[in-house]
Amino acid sequence: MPLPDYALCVGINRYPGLTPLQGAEADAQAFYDWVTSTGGVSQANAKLILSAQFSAGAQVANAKPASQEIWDFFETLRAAATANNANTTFGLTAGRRLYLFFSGHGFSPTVDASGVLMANAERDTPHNLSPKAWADRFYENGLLEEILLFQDACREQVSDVDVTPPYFKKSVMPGWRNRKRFYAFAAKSPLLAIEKPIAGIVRGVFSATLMAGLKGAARHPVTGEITETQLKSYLMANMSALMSSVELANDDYSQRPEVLDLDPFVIVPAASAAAAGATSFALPTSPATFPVRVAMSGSGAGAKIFDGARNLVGTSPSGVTEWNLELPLGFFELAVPGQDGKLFKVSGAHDSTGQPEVVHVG
Amino acid sequence: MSAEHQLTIQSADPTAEITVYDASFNRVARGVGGYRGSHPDALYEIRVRTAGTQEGQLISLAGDKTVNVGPVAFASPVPLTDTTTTDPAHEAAVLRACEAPISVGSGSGLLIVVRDPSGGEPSTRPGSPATGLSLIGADGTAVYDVGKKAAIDASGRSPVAAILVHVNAGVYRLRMELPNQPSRERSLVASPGWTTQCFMIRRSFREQAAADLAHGSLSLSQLGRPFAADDKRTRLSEAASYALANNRKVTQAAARALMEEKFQDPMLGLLVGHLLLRDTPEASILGEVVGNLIKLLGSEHPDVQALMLAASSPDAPSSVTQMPMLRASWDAIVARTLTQPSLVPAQSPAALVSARVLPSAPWLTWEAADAPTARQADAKMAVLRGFLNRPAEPSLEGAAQYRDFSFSAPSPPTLDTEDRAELARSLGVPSSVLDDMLSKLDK
Repeated sequence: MPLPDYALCVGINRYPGLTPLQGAEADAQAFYDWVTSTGGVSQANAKLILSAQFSAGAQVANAKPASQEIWDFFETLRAAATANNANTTFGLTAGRRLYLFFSGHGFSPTVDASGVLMANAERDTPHNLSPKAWADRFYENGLLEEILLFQDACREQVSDVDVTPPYFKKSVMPGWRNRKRFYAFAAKSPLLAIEKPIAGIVRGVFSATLMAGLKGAARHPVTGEITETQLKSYLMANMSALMSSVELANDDYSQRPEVLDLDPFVIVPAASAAAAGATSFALPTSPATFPVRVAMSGSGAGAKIFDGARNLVGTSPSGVTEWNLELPLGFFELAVPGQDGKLFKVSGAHDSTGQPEVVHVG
Repeated sequence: MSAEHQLTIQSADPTAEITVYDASFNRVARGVGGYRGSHPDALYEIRVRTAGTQEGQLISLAGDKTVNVGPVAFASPVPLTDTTTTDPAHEAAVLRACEAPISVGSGSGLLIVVRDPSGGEPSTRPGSPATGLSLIGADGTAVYDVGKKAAIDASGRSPVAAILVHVNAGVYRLRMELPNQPSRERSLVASPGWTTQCFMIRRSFREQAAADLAHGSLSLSQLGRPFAADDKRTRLSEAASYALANNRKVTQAAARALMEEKFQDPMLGLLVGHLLLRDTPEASILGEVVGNLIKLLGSEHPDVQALMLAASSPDAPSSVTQMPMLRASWDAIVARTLTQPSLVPAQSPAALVSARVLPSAPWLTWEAADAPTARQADAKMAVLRGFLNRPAEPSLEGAAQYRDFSFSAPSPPTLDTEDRAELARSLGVPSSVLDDMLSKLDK
């Protein structure tokens, strides 16, 4: 029997000691729904933790989820690893893949560290958990083979708060070469992640983009897979498409996520990506091609476009000053007789109206 | 099957991280400082990253090809050429400061520069960029009021404050005092024959604008040598300090660059020493780096002492009394206190602030010991309480259990060696401070 996959999805809207959020729970719910369907994690191995699951009247100090609720899930991983060690040939390994999804208030004491505030946090007692520190610890300990971390939280620079370290002990287990990590944060330090109504529901901009990508928009048009590179490219190119011009003009708001694509691997296989279905908001789910506008100098006669592998993908119509065509993601070369070739890239970016961005050449 | 061609990439930045992507956006090659390999005839994208800034270019590999990549224009607190923050007015202001040093001692120099960010809209922030900044001795005595006395130049798009102070060799502190906020400090070590150049950017902190102590730039130049905006060593140090703070893997390239500079740049040496300790602690070059640093800066320099301790140098000090400049140095000292609790002697300047270390990188900062509203110690206590609320470790079957029927007062929570190391590193506190915090939990 193969090793199972696990998922922890945490969304915290209710912070009795801080300003509340509106979209964090919807983000976590959306990720949970995806990961337990397309993502292939059984519901028995997936944990959804929302602040709405706990009493609303609790004092700040007793508000939940606190670290304890998160740790409970981590303890199930430890128990699974212990059981595998005793009963199978897998060794001290809990599973194949772990998805960690966190949405809530966050902060960043240094550029390389960040924490998500728990529901019992206050300004002077900032109870927090560092998903990245835990993900790193699972990776170091070899508790899982693949760790995917998605964190939709601000990384405002709060330089007087230390992140709480993971309490699992560090142990360096063999098998480093086979382990893989992919971490994506809504913001890099010290920027703010924003939430806003998207298709009638308040969502984190990062999470909404992530879900569109995982549901198929980030898949490669040829292979159909979503690899770490495809997902990173999609997130980097498209998060800003869900932001208004006013939001884009605010230097404190994150327009692009911070993505650490540390190892090459397939995040969503081709069949799963194709079956994921559409999102309910503006970003398209399966962009096969994107518009390209080539400004022709002279007659433009005989201009040709070749793809990254030198295959001819288009020949210009004669007598036009502007050549409009549709091309898939990739690199291309425009060859015009008597001129140097021009290289261009179709990145799959969308504009702020959700429409594919036109690639201008020449 | 398409032909293979040789692709050679040469970067002007020795520590530039180079990645090659194919037309499916898959990563097909990586290198640091340069790359050489063969690939099929096709189109590729080369991305080059230095100090957090990435630039890309598409190439057509139709035959063997050499691509020369220029210096990446990253943002720097130093008005270096080939950066996005280069500024002739700021460079001129720094040069003027170098020509008219203030003397409160001799033998060493401290160049302190605070810039408003260049570019974009002209700055409208009032007052000196160095407002609230002062230079003090390690014992707290005032040395120079940078905020009030440093020359301000507002001829460019944004103002800059710059001052060169000649001092006796020793450990000094830069202190930032702002209304209604705890004072913060960092170390500036003045080494004999060297000028320590500290560049900072003025940023907004809770509606107040002030020099950002934690994220500036430090470099060392020989005493009397004026600031040089095209100094490639300073550029290298910038990239190396970014790598240290952001866990970028450029250690071997940085070490090679240091060797090519004949180990003559002490700041680069300190940074490479810590990168080696982090990534390849067994590397034989580490001892050479530490040995050269002792020759250049002396064994009294707290950052050199930290490297001597971490590298298990036979001449490693038995005590460290001053705060180092780098957070990585402090982490090395803290780690050593777990087996050598007396390393930071009680009542030493370092011990007096060691409970108030802030989580900054790459530079070490802390709340001042006499700050009336200091609360850093309480924040650390909250983290400690959170850590100790963890579930109990599963007990080992058959392990012996102790029974204790005594009526003695409850003892502090016990932590094993690994827990103590984890907490000391995360909180940035030496062993003695951790024990003190644990004892307070019971009260």
